[in-house]
Amino acid sequence: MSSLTSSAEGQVGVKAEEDDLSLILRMADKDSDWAGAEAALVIFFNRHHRLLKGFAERNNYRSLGFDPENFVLRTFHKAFERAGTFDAPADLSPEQFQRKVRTWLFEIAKNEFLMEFRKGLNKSEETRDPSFLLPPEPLDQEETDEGKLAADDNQAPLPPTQMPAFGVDEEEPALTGKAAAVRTFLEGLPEGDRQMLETSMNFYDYKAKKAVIPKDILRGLANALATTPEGIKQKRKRLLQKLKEYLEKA
Amino acid sequence: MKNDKNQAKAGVRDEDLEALVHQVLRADGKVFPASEKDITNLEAEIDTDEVKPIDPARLLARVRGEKAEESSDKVVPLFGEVPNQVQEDMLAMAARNGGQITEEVRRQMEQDRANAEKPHDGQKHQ
Repeated sequence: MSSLTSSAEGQVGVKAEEDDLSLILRMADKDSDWAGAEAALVIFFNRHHRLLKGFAERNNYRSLGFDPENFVLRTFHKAFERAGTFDAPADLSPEQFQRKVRTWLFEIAKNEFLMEFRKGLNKSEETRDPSFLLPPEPLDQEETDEGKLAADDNQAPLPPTQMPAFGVDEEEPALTGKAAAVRTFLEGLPEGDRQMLETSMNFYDYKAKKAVIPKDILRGLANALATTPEGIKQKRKRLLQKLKEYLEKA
Repeated sequence: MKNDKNQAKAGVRDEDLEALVHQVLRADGKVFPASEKDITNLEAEIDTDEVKPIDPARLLARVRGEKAEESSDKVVPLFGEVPNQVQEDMLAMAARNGGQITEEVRRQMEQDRANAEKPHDGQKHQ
């Protein structure tokens, strides 16, 4: 690893201590300086990839059919291709900037995660299906999201997440005080049930206040969990009902 | 505070239930982080020094469109074209039932080939 970096430094003048902005700019400039872009990618990768790999391993994505290393490699490959799309305010501290960069990387990773579930399914058929949402009640943004999801895989949209009016970093005051009970409940669930509930929460929509899973991704998720889309819906509904009862007793 | 207590006593409304689960999972780094605060939480949860690094050469191979890990000179494709030399070697191996040719057998084979290539007297005049 170090030989790659030092070799890159020697030949194209990219330093291991260069900040993320310089590295991203070099990657974005790959058409005019491919060697410099590759050298920057190696340094960028060495700096950030272990957080993503640790996340994938910790959440046991292997049980869903994901190899954590391939998942990380795919994400950084995509980040290299999309380096020109990165954007951040100019007045951030180095720590804030690093978190911004990592947020961007995880957005790409999430998109790759969703694409894995969607692979191999008949998009034109799936995305026209009116029973699009989980839970099945129709929502206002259904049409909009459906349109987005019909896009080409290479231009794949992020999940239909609506950011809350109160800001994504703020907690809803009414929900404080129950977190510990929720954690206890989740820890008591069988591994498969917990995995399903946790994975489904990657599709949480702040506006709808519930998980909204595109039907084609739901099919892929069902395949990964060796069940059916209806099985996931029913199991999820039962788990949430149990949680509700648990919280009422707690 | 009083309102919070009343809320807790009454349980969680249906529409808040998923919000609550999501909030807990976000705080615990169980769903993809969506904000800088989530990243901070995740950095606190994961000790990256404990995570085995990936060789960046694999990423470069991928970016360059190479298939360094998957292909090897010793690997014969199950489908598609097989190089001529490999085909001949495989046929020869099949002919000797996968075994090695001993020195004695090889000498005999060479002798047989030489005899076969030597023109016969009877054919000379034909």
